[in-house]
Amino acid sequence: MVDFRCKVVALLVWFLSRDVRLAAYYVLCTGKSPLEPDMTIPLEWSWGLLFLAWLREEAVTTALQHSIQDLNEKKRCIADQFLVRSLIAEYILERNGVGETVPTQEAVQRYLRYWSYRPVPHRIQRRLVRLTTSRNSKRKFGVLMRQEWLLQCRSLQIDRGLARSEIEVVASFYRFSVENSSASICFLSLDLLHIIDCGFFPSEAGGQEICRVMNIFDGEPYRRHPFSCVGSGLYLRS
Amino acid sequence: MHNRTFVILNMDEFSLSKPSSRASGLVYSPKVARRASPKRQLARPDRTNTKTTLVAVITNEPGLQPVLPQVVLARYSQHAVPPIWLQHLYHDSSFPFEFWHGTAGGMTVELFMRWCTRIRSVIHSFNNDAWIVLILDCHSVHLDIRSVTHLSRLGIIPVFVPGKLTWLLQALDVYVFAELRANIRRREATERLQAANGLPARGSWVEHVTRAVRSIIVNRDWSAELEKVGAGLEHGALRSAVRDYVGHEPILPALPLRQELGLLLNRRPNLASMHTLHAYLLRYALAVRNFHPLVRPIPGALEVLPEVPVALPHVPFDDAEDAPWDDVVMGYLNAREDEGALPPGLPGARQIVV
Repeated sequence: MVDFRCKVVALLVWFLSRDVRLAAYYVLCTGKSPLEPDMTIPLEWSWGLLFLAWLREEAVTTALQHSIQDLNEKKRCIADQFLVRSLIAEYILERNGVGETVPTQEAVQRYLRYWSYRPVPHRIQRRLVRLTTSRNSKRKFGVLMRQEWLLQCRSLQIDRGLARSEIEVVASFYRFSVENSSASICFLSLDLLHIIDCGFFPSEAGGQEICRVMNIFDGEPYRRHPFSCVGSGLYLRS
Repeated sequence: MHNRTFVILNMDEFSLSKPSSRASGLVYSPKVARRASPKRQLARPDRTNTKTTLVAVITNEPGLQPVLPQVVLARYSQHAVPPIWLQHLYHDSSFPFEFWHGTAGGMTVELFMRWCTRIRSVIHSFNNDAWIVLILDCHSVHLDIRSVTHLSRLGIIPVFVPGKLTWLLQALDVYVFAELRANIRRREATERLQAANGLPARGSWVEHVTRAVRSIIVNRDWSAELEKVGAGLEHGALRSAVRDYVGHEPILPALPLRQELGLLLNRRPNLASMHTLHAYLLRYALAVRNFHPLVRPIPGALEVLPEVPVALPHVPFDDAEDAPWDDVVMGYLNAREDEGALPPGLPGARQIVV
């Protein structure tokens, strides 16, 4: 059962952000799940219908109108804070995509910066000031962010594989056997095009490894290409 | 020393290669993100910072602190002189930083002797009558007989912090280095977050380090902190952690016996080197004690120091109850961004090949 305040705040989040999913996420954050799973319609529609049903309640509508007009209203403050925290969460997700974690200190600074761009209710002003000085307030902010947005405080695993561009550019050392030849060929500064230009083709035994390298070149290993790779070395070992 | 003018210095080495960003922070749970767990890119090792040491120094004289040279022993590949672009970066970090090239990135006896000569020159250019009291830890370089001899030759009075007690008695360890390390890490993390690919630019550590050192060491008055660890005239100003050990009784200075010196320096007293070291230290201490009050210290080479504002004591950022909230918050954010900004009109950082 969703309580009155949660309904109003969820609708405020919906109206202010124009995002049904964010409003739905707020309801789920409060630990309530008013929807029965219905696979016949998309989930966003279900939430939209539920919110429209809440809007028909007169008390909710009145409170909603009051909250929209008054910046200092308690439910409006809750909705505003949730929305600003959602911006921080979005930023964290974006930076995680690049492979970077966001320290709590940086998240706090960004939170303060976002608030500085907009009018701030009186009851939030003291909290923001405390965030600048009180270490405990910063810690609590981090805990809230982790709980609300299911974040973890840890470091990311290092991607130790070479990037595609690096494999293309960086000198490699590769050795394989070639069919119709008893020689071993060593490539320094690997350029697969040399294999084709030399007229050698990989054997069945070595083919698997060769194919792995060929995939790097967009599956176009048979493109004719002059010996343009300066510095690439190719020599035969008997 | 009561009848003489003197400045108290505390110097220590600080590795600039180690405090790289630990890269821990807020991360989305992979189950929530419903995609492959994000991975951090392996940053290419910055060849400009393979091993770098900062020779940090603080003093009880607020006017002297901004002109004290903060020497960076920046090793470059094969101990060679760095390329021009890197030298420009060093130069832009400005006075009072000094970059000594051609080193292995760590302190040696020869470098220490050179550093002492340089520091005496700067201090005597500031105050020609001041005796120099240098507080050091028990690093083997500082306790080398050549270093001690050189200190006595320069007229610098060494005071060694007992071994394994720097965490309690050395102001740099107690107050400075933890904040400095955190500040450098924060700057590096901020740069990584602002970079499109999440990787720091090559040589960017120079700006992080110099701005952090400028805001924390150069522009700050450390006299109160030096008094708190006992490097001052006021006994009552001791920090509580020290007072817990020494009690409220005044500490009377006395010259140590060889066994006591061995205990203080965490070395075996019967070694031949300890015999020599003890003899040198005591001979010099007795000589200083017997100096006539009007005897002036041996002067160093004088140079013209640039005019810089006096260092100010650290005022922790505090929220004023009556101040408008936006003043406090914007002040906090701006202070974070402008921290360690370079004042105009300073000469470039000095670079020498040792």
